[in-house]
Amino acid sequence: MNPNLNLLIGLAMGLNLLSLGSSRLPALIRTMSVQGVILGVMPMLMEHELDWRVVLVALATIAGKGLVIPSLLRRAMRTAQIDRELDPLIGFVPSLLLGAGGAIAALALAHLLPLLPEHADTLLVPGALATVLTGFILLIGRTKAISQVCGYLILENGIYLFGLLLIKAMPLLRCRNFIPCTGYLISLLFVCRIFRPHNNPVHSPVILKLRRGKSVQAGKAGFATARITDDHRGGRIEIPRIFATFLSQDIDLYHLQMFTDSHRGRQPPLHVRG
Amino acid sequence: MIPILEFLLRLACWLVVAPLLPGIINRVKSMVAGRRGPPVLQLYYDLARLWRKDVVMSNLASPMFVILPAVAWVALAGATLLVPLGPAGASLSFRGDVLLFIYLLALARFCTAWAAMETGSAFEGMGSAREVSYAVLAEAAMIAAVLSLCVQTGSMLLVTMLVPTVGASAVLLAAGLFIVLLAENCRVPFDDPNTHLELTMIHEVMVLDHSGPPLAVILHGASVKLLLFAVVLTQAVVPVGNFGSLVACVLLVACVLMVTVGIGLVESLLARFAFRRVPLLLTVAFLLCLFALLVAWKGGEA
Repeated sequence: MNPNLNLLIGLAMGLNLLSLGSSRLPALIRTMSVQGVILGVMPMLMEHELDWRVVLVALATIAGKGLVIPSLLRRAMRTAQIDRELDPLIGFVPSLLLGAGGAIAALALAHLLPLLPEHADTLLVPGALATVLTGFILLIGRTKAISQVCGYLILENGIYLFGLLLIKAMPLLRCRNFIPCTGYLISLLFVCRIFRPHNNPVHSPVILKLRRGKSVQAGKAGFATARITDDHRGGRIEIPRIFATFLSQDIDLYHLQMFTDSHRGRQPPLHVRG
Repeated sequence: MIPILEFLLRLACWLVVAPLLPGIINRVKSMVAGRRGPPVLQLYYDLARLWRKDVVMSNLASPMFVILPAVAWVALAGATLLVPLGPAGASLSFRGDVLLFIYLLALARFCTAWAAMETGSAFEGMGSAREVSYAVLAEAAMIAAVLSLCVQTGSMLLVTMLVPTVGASAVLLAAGLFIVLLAENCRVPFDDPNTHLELTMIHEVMVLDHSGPPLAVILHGASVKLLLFAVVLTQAVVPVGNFGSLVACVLLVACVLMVTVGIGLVESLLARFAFRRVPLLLTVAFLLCLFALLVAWKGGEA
């Protein structure tokens, strides 16, 4: 149908393999976001006359998948100080081979499916199947929460590709928005959950910084210095009152609260100096 | 008389030009690093020097230690006869010669590995083991590339196979073959040709105990192999055969030069990969060639 479209889908399939082969989180996030941008461009190529709504949806997709979600993920990665190395359950070479096998199987399978004639010569269906499969492999084969989110988002990219098949059959905004939006919501839920520290808050980066007598960023407005009278049984954090309000806006407060929660009992936990 | 003369001339051309390539690579590397570097003809001097020297042999080594490098060299020289040069065609061409080409390369590798193990040194055994285990992956990629060319052109002759098409398939094939070239010739992301003392090296380990003429033969064979891969890569991607002989000649030389400079740049800009990453990169090369095959197959169907 459209050689450019097939080229883009081919690129997206290549990015699938790249995501399976990348061994570091930033690379995985980058791959995922580039794939999102490529997918976002596709509706503009598929429509013959350019509607403003199509452009809007495409721009929204590009912004969401290419900028917002990746930056959220990077932020999560920084805030929680996650180790950048992915530790795979399924090794990189096996998962690459699995992904490639899946892509080939998807190509073969797409021949057998009863497709509409205008879809028969595009890579839409095999691309969607391969992308969904890649997402599954990432979900199963990587242990870190962020890499699982990436897996989920790639899975969702595959669903989006399937959604593009319906571009003619359904009214534009309803079909295009319904399927991906559910995906976005679920993935955002995932992203938000990462911010909860699973590990011991005493070792959270903020606390460690405060222990070393350094200041931490409090909200957007400035830095707070806090003094920790430190020992393992009774911690005591003193924060200038002026920063306390800013702190409450930031994620860092969560760590502080957890820290003080874990020491509740002996001493007043959070002592605000003012 | 004339065919024989042409045959010999062509072989001589391959053998004489080959040592130029490592020199050019080294020149590119030193230019990027801001040094003057060794002369481009350095390998010729080295070969001449080695040829005049005696052979030092281990007590354990059998005569095969000297014979096998020669066999490997002959295999590589034989492989050059099969490779076509643009519109001029190949010296030798028959149905299925591409299989012979692959097997000749494999034979050369087998001989080098065997000769390395002749010394009885555990270090060289390790190098052979590495070389052969990576070759398994590199050869898979090479075979996938050959298959995709076969499917594209529907022929088993190297002369007619190397007629490239333009498109995604050519790009995939070029990328895959370039990685295979780097791996097969022990260039940087896989192996560092400059190291001689590290435990991470692959190819250089195998030739550590060779000296004199056998080492010269091995080094020359390696440069011939590099030229072979550069020429095959060029012709698999650039339609050299479609032009007149003069243009084709210039184009071929320019492209081989480009590949060589590319290798030099890769060596200057990349560090050698961690050992566990090497299979990953080779798998990527295999997949690139596999997808080139798929594109060729699908394109042929449509």
